[in-house]
Amino acid sequence: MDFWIDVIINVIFAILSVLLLLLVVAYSTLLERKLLGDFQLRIGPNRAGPFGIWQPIADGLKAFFKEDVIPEKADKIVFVLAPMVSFITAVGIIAIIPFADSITIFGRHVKLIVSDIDISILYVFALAALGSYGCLLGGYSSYNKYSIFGAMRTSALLISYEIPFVLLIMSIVLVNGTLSFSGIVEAQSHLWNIVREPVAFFLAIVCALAEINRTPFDMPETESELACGFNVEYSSMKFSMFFMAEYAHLFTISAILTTLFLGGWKGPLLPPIVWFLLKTFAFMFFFIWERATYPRFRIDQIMHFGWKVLLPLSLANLLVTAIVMAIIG
Amino acid sequence: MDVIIFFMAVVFAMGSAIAIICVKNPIHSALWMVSTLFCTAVIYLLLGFDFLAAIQVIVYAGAIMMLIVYVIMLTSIEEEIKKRYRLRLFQIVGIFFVIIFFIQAVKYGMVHLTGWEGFDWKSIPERFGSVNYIAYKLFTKFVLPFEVVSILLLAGIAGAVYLAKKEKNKGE
Amino acid sequence: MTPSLNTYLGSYLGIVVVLIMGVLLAVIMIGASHILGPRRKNPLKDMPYESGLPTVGATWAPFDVKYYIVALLFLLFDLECVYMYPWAVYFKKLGVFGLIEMFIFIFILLVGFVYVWKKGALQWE
Repeated sequence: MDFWIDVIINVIFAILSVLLLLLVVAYSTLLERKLLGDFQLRIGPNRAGPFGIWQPIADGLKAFFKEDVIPEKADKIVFVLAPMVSFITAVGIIAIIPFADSITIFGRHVKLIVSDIDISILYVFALAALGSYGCLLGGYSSYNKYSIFGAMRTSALLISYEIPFVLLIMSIVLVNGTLSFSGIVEAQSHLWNIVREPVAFFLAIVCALAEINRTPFDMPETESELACGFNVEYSSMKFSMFFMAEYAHLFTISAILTTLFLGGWKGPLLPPIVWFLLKTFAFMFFFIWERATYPRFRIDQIMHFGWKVLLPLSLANLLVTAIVMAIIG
Repeated sequence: MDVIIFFMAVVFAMGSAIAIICVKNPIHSALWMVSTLFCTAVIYLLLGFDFLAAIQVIVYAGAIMMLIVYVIMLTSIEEEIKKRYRLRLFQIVGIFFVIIFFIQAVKYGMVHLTGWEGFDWKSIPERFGSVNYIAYKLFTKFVLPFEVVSILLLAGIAGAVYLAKKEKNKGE
Repeated sequence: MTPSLNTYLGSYLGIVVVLIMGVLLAVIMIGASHILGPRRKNPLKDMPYESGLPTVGATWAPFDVKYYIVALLFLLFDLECVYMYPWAVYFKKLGVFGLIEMFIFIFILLVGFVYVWKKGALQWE
């Protein structure tokens, strides 16, 4: 009996966290537009409700009622599958993020993490690996030169920056000795990883920008060169799903960086969930801010930077960490 | 519950494996292969190898299949679709029986010839598929194979560069 | 033994629920927009969009071999990283011995990386 109550609580919590993620996704689009407006001395959306508060809902409803164009020569099954792959793999990451400490409801401990598995980090990379098929297939199935170019460039970018990202996170694994997110948060009780691994922190932010395709690495959206990149043929809700996947990544990667480097939900005075959200939204603010600041790199610059600068640096960081760990013991 | 998931994973894995050789478009074949590998990962997970399951998805589905999709996209898909050989139904059925026979033979060999019959399954430690246990084995008992792997990877890198350079010279 | 969610397989329940939710939402959203949206077929609309111009040349331009090199290098370095995960997790118990093991491993691969660099395979023209 107790077991089934636990199961029901876990299922409800899982469903709630997905719905909350969708809410965050909807409102992070508004946040981004408002902040970009401020950075560029504009007002931003202000028509739908006070401060444009209904804007995301209006956008979402609009997408439902738009024509769903599937090009004549498209590979139709894959064309429909691609946005689904992007969306599902982006949403799936929410399952292993530790939101807060365990809380007590009706006299039983409930962990505020949907799935407390041993291999959280590997799970994230596995989903990222499957997610990179989303844009590649989207580009392939559209039967459009620009889509195919955009897709190839995006996936080349993704795989090039994944290696340094893995190596940087490896140094965190090395320091904390575990692959599970709750274990990593626990290991940061006294000292945050940003103090132990400052170099990894800054380099990981750069890799994270590339992994979620944001400026200066926004290869999918090279409007000036490739019309719109891999999703140029997409319309209606399918386009929105690529868009939602992108903003879901914005939130999840912020949450992952918070967990890995800033001690997750740990913090004095305020309740854990508040600390978690504060740190996560600080990252999101930063990611939006830098979009308004930097221009876009060219594809050759991006590839050179990834393989010839980031990869050696992250490998060196890992080796230095290992040596220091061996000396300290 | 885990038995139901196991059989679902097995059926999906076999279904997608058959689809790999039956569909006309090479990209679709590659996608079915990703699906097969994913189902295999689920089976690993059910057996207690969480690390191996994740690696299965990251390396096979993420890296190797990505490479294969790239290679398919480097060739001309349209011509490929026209001349691609597809298996007929009776051929598939034939292959299916050959495979069943093969599996039975291997099973017989493994059980009766290697002494697995009297194997004490209880001697396997709990969570033997966990990262810690794999690391413990890999870096104590199997150090030499581990180092040999790096030489294998080195050979792979050298081969990749050699092939690519050859392609490039031909193109010029 | 009473069943519990704090077991190995029990901890994966949440992931299964989240992924099923993801699939359901994706199907609902695509299905709903397919039903709700208008459909006005038009031969020009169904052509590839290239900012209003008709397509010139073949859509499947053969790709440069450099993409292939990047994918191959990614595969090899990904394999290298796979061996590092158990090492990193177990490092505290291995100590200096583990350090030496991994240094030999990485050194051999670094030789490969330098070779690739010197051969100019990382050059993206």
